[in-house]
Amino acid sequence: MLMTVWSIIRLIFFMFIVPMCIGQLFKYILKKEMRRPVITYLIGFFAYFGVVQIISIFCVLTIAGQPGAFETCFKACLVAVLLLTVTGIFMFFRFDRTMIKKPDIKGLSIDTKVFYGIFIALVLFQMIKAVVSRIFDGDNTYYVTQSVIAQKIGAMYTVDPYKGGLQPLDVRHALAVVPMWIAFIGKACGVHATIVAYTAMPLLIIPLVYIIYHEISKVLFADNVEMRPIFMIIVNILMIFGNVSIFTPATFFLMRTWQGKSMLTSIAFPMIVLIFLWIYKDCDGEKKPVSERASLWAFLFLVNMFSGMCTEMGVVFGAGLVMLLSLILLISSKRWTVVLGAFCSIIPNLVYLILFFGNGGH
Amino acid sequence: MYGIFMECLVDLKDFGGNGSILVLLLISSIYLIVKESDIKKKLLFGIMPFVIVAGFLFPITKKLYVSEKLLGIEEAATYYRILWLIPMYVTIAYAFTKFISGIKSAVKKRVAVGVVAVVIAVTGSCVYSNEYVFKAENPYHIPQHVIDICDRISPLDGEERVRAAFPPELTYFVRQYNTDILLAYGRDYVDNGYYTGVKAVMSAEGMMKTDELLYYTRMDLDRYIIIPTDKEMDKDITQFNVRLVDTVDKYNIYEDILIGDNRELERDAFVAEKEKIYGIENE
Repeated sequence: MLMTVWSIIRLIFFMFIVPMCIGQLFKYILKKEMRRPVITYLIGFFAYFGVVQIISIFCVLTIAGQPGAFETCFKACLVAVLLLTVTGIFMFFRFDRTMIKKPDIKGLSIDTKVFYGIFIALVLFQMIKAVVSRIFDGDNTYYVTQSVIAQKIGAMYTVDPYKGGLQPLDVRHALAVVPMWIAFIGKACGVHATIVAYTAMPLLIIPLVYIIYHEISKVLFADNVEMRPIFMIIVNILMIFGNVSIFTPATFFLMRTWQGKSMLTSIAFPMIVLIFLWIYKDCDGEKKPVSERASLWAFLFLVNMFSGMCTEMGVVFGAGLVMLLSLILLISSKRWTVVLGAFCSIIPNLVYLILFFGNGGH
Repeated sequence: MYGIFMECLVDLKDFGGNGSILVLLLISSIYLIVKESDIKKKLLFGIMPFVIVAGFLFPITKKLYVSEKLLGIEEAATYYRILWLIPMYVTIAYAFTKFISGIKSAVKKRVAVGVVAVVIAVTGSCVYSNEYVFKAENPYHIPQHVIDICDRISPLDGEERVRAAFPPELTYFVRQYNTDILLAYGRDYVDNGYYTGVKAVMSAEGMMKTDELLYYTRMDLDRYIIIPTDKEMDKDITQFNVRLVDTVDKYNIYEDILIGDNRELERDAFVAEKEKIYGIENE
């Protein structure tokens, strides 16, 4: 019982507190009014994934064939993550303790409060359903087993997940290291990776996705707070009743929550749209200093790293979406610096492709 | 080109299922093209979905996507994922919320939210009523009988890993729970229809041929064989140096004593004898 409680505390630390602390470091790239707790958490989440991704990919490409490769990868990730977390805590207490502000609930109308209540109830419903439901998907046999293999045997994509036995490094999947992140969380918290994937991950991902959509609603209804919970209720209903086919983002989001491709469509793509909505909004006002304009492209850089971590396909699709949304910006703003910003933001995608093809991917 | 276009159209139909989501998207995008005053949002939510769908239906896009000589991004089965680039849910929710925001009366606003929610729910399909959603029996989200079988056959600390032959329906779960159990064949064989003798015998309908099964499992060094209790076998398997270890739920767990006790000579003799009947040259 005590061990279970200790594992749950560690899960809360590594899934919720660590991103918040890392966010304390990275939020300084954003302009002051954006350094809210939610945005801090989001940027911390993507930076956290970025750190694990860089170390994991380095390990996959250098030591994957050696026994206990994941052990080394885990130790390196743990040191890096804890260092960033401690520094983030220091930054919080040293420089910025004013960020925690109570939301102005009293100022909301009764209707808005009720709609917010419905929205929160719907999110909680999905989180509870994710914990109490077993959802069958054949692909889990690959992804979840890779996490378990890394955690229990220490191998990184060099063991056949289906039958067991050694196999050459599976480059196609090896660079999309979400399973290694799940194994990292499992090992750090002393929880079986399968439990992390199926039971713990939805508790992080489902609210995270709706946080992103809520931020989108804040941009779309900047002057109309009352409409935001209505927007969120509609998004929730679209997700819950979105199983019109096995291919829709809603199906992936709620039935394959822990898989990289699901995270791509439910976290990375909405986040790219959100960042562009911020950029579009910035373009409407007076011209901002270069550092301020560059900050959102830097955030996008982190999200594009995350796309590659989700799935190798995310690299191409993520870059494609950035190009489409940049084109809209270019047409409306007629600023050629957009091309530079967009190019810089997709550098992770280009590096990923070089690594992929350089290591025999096809 | 026309053939590829039709393939793309089928992919679009498959993606849309009953079509409700595509209709909602179409209505929303048209509404935003007409009503949205901000040019960037008009382009993003109004025009971009049409551009992406047009690009999706354009045969050359699919050629680029699939052909390894060209871009070769992925296999044709995943072509629908291009449609993920459409910010579909944001577009629909934005259009409907924008419409509701134009309603002056608070009562009518509440009714409108309810109507929109009901329309989406009725025309859509609830994720939780999907045939692949079951009640979780444990935090692993793995069927409890698989866990019980694995616990019964898994090696103790320091012991060698064991190889087992499971029925096809259980192969998905075993190694998600315990990677110390190696399988005679995995999910890839089941889903892709790859051939292996053990799978062929275990998944064949009707009566199972006991000595044919043992020929393949002994060649494969499978120490444990899991067989559904309702599966009929032409001979009693326990007559062949195999013992019943346990019965878990609807599955019998058998241990092959020749493999478990490393009786290699007897195993080799059995395999050699059955080779004459079931060996490749006799097929």
